[in-house]
Amino acid sequence: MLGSNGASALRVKDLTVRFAGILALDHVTVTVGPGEVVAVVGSNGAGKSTLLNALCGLLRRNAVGEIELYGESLLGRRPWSIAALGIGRSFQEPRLIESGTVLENILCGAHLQLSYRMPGQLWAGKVLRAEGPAIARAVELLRLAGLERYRHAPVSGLPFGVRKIVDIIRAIVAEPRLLVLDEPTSGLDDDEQLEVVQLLKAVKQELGLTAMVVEHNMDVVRLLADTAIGMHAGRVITTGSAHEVLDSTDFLNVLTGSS
Amino acid sequence: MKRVRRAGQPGGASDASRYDGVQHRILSAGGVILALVAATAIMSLKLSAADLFIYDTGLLAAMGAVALNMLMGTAGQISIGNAAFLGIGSFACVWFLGEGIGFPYDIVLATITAGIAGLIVGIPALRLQGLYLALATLAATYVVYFICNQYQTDSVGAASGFIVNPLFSSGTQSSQERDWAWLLTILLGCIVFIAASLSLGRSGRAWRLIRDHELVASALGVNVPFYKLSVFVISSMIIGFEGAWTAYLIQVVTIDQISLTVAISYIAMILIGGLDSILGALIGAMLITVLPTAVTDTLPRFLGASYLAKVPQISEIIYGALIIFFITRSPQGIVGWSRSIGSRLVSLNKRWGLARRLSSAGGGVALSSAEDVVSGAEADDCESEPAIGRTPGPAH
Amino acid sequence: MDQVVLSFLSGLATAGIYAILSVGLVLLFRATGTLNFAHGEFLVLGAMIVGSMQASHHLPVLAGIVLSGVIVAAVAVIFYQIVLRRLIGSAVFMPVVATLGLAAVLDGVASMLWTSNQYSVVLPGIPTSSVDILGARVGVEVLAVTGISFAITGAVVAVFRFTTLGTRVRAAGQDPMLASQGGINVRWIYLGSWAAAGFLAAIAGVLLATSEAVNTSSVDIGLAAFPAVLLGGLDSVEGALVGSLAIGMLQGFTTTYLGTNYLDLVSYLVLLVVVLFMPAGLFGTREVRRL
Repeated sequence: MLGSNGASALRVKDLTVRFAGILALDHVTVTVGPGEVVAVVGSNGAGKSTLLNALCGLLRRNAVGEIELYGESLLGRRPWSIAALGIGRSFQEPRLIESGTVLENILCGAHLQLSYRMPGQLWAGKVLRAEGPAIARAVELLRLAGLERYRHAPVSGLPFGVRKIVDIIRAIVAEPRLLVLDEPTSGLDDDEQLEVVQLLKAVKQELGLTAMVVEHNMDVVRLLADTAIGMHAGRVITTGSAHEVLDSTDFLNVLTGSS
Repeated sequence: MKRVRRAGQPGGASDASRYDGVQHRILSAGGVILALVAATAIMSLKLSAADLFIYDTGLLAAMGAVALNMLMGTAGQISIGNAAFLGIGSFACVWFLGEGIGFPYDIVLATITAGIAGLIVGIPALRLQGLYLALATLAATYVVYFICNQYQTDSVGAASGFIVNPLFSSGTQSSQERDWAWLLTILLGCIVFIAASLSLGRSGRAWRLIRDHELVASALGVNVPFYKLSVFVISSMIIGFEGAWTAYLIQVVTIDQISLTVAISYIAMILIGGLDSILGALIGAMLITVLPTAVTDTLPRFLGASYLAKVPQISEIIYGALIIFFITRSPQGIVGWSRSIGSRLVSLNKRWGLARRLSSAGGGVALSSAEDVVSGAEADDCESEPAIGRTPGPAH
Repeated sequence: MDQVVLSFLSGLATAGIYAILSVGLVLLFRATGTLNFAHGEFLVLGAMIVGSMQASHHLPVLAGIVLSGVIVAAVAVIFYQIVLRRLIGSAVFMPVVATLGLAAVLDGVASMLWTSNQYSVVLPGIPTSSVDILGARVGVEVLAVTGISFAITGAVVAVFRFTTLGTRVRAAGQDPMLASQGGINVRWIYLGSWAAAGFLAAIAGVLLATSEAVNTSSVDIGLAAFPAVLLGGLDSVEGALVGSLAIGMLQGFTTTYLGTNYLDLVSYLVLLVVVLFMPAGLFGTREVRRL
């Protein structure tokens, strides 16, 4: 789906990833338009996480094909330079700095947004001024998620649901041009899943959301996604709008692994 | 600057004027420096010249401990090569002196030399982790030992080491030790300031991410090679700096100062004090430095005076045992203990309103410990009682 | 020519000592996933116990050797039980630091017990004569000790490869979960590995003490086995043997042609090269890094 100026936010074409002799992704092609949320669905081992990892540059040596973010090629770039181009990522397991607070962990996501470089850190005033906007954004996102009271809480004792949201906010705080979420509701109970959906919907409303989301929960997909792709064994089996994909027989095949 | 809220006072959960965690920590770093200055003031007045000398060596050791804490505690890069960088600092200083470059430029150049060595070690170390990194730093120690040994044996008249002329030549020994104490305090204060500034800002966060989840760090935009190299270079510069000043304080430079035992003692310092804590590094450095003296004083009471000659060995046994103890039980060390004691006090206070009672009794005692970040969180509002202050260490 | 022969034979003797140490280190690595930085202390302890006993004529040498092996094995086992078992599942550098702590403790103890004394060991029943090999005069004792060390190492490798005990040890190292479900008592295997490694290190110390005087600074020799282990592959018992031969030979020729000052440098440069360019060594298993 193309945006109004004709450019797609993310364009993946014939992405193929091989490691240890296994073909993890087989000529995957998918497009995300600006403001569009694309869900990636499929059974376990279909290559969904591999797709996300390839996008983020974590599979530099094993990936061939085309990946373009707003026209700039991502292939072969280091992960941090891809992040600099505007990709924010959350993970299946929230990997946080255990000894830090919620706020500090979220600020990790703003690493590239902060304007001071290493020597500049010696000037506390400069640091505080530079971090102010990022902290404000972090607090605002926490507020959207209803977690503002946790901002100085050490991460290590917090419930899993809170940690997942912290991970997601960490990805959002840098206001990425493309948000990549890996199973944002996995491991959460129903209430917590609702919180995540509400957070993402609020972000979509207030900031706009261009995202690729790996998701197992079909209700969440229907609520959040505009389009979807179904994957199986490293290949894209079906694409279309979220409802089309979820209701199609192709997709049922994808789920049961028979195609 | 926003006002500190005393623990126990009722505060709105989402009070925007509440003390920001980052600013809190900046202040506590300043507190550490103030405490350091106060300690030196007290020590320089109360201690004899001989004891003050020990305090001075403790201040020097603290520099290395802060550096090693940054490297191992914050950035998670294990290194047992710190003795090598000490040696580089000392020997480079001596070499520059020999080339006619006087104080203070020899120290500056020695520090830069150590930084270059850190770069040389750091570049291959980018690909290494854990055990392999430890081994590479061990190898580096042997290589440096070889180079310095050759230098020492090749130099005329230096068979048992190099002699360095004293820095302060006038005044009594007491006044010289006092001068040293203040000089070193200022230098150490600067190093603490630099280390704290880096640790509290985005560099510290980047290092901790690299330590805990390196791949996540790179996906979030952290240039991992740059940060790994920078922590190697900065820490080796500080350790080289320490080595150069050691040459002046002790006035002797020999290869015996480069040994695995020395490297292990620094690891003991940061473990005992607490990993990823600058205050911990200072405390650990002082404790380990003072250990032989403490042993000398207490030993005769337990084992008899005949063991006095064994003080260095007994000290070594003790800090080896301390390493083992802390690595198995609590890598967050003494600082971590005080955090959990502090936060236990805070939660006690919340249950019984202790501070309210004390302050209404006329006094107003702030029960929060300086590094207790949790004093900002209202435990009532949290869904679960946070496991306060503990870094997840080894399962036990 | 006699230089070459001498270098070769002295290298072989060194290789024998390293072989015993390395095989023990590999066993430990397979059990706990860490390299034992206190291994040099095990060696020193073993040597000093026997050496000092022989000097004071307290026990017949062979009994002394067994006793020293048992003592060091006990130290190793106690350390594993009290310290390393608690670190299971923690970051890799923690057991390393723990062994460093152990090294400090043992170094202090050894220095306290024996100060700066040094001891040699004389093995009974071995002639002290010399023999002429290709123009070089070589002590029979050195040859015998070399032979003994390789015999011991060979025995360990054989047990590891060809006996049921060895199979169990290999299984426990490869997949502890599976092994314990298959009825193998993994904990005893790990304990046994530490005991065996300690015992072997003590023996190595004794054998070393037959050719040169050992004192508390001889710790470096124990650490010098690390290049051999890395070269062979951290988890390969056969690799330990090959690596020891290589490093031993290297050291033998280095001593002759460059001087003893260069020994550590050369060995650790090899270590650096291995660690940087082929961390799996010659025969070890490669690690795969996953997200």
